Amino acid sequence: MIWLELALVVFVLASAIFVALSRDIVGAIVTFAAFGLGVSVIWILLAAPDVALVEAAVGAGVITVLLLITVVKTSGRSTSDDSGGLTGKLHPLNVPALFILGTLAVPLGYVILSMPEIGDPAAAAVSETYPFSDTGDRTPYGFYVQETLEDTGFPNAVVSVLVVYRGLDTLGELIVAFSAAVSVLVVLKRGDLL
Amino acid sequence: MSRDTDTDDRRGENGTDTPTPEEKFDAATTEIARGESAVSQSPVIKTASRTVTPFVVAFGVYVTLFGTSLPGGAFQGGIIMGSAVVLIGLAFGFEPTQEWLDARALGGLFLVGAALFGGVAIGGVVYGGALLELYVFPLSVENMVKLVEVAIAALVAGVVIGLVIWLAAGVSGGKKA
Repeated sequence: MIWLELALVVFVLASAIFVALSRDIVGAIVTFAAFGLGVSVIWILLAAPDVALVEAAVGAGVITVLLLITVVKTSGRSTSDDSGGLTGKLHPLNVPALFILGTLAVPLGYVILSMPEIGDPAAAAVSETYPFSDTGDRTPYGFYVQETLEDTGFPNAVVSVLVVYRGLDTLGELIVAFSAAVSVLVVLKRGDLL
Repeated sequence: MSRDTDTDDRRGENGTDTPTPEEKFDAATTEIARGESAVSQSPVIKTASRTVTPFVVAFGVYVTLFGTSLPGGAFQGGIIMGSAVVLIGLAFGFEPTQEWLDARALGGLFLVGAALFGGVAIGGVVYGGALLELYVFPLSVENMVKLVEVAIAALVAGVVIGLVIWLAAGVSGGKKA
């Protein structure tokens, strides 16, 4: 299992670097879809199938189509020259950008490495939700996973948080999504389409 | 048929039998900009997308309605249902799809979603609870969640379809107007 995870991480990192460096825009977009698919498989291995479904549908599917449409509409074209081999297909490394990214990545990596292990009962996300549990039976998953079935009658804790416990947040999320759709119409000046 | 001869003419002007990748890309760009997707000439993609689309929509409905007991939910199901229309747009061209897609149908998706979600939200107050409190309804919480999920899926599907189809078809349409 560890080899599968390692192979996935290498695949995701390699495709991310290729997306950043490739001169071929369409190739970079297709590689970005592969990147999204790899990330969604990682989500499944991390036992988060709900997020994996979204990542596969949005990250690998819809975003790819949106980016392709953008490239076609702006008629950006591939700048690769086939003569130069691999160096002709990739952008040269931008050292200042690499420095800025490095200063971002080092603290981020430090934070990730100092995070508690998955399922650690002392982690804030778990221990903070304990006081609301009256069963006293402590499993490292917090109130929602423990009580959802009894409280709402169905087992998927993600949906119960989204709709039952945090319904107003979901309503706000949908307002954001709807205003994205409306702003497209406003920018295009095509109010007749809806 | 006329589209095929059109492509042949363009290749003839280039003077070569096999166009370079750049020429292919330019041809595809103009075709997509005119609303004829480059892939729409392929009967394989047309047939495949026509066959797959009902199953994609059915899977989206399944993911939406069974999100209470299985991984999934309204956001995932809505995106899957919306991507079925995006697939049709890719296969048959976005501009014909936008013409085929009744504006009232898309508006209806938004309307159904907003009315259902808003109705449930205010219904909670009517039944004597807080806004969006699902425990006070006569239906079970699970069924109320499914009702809200249908609303979310309708809104999300509408947003996905709208973003892709309007962006792809709306720009060239705006130039015409």
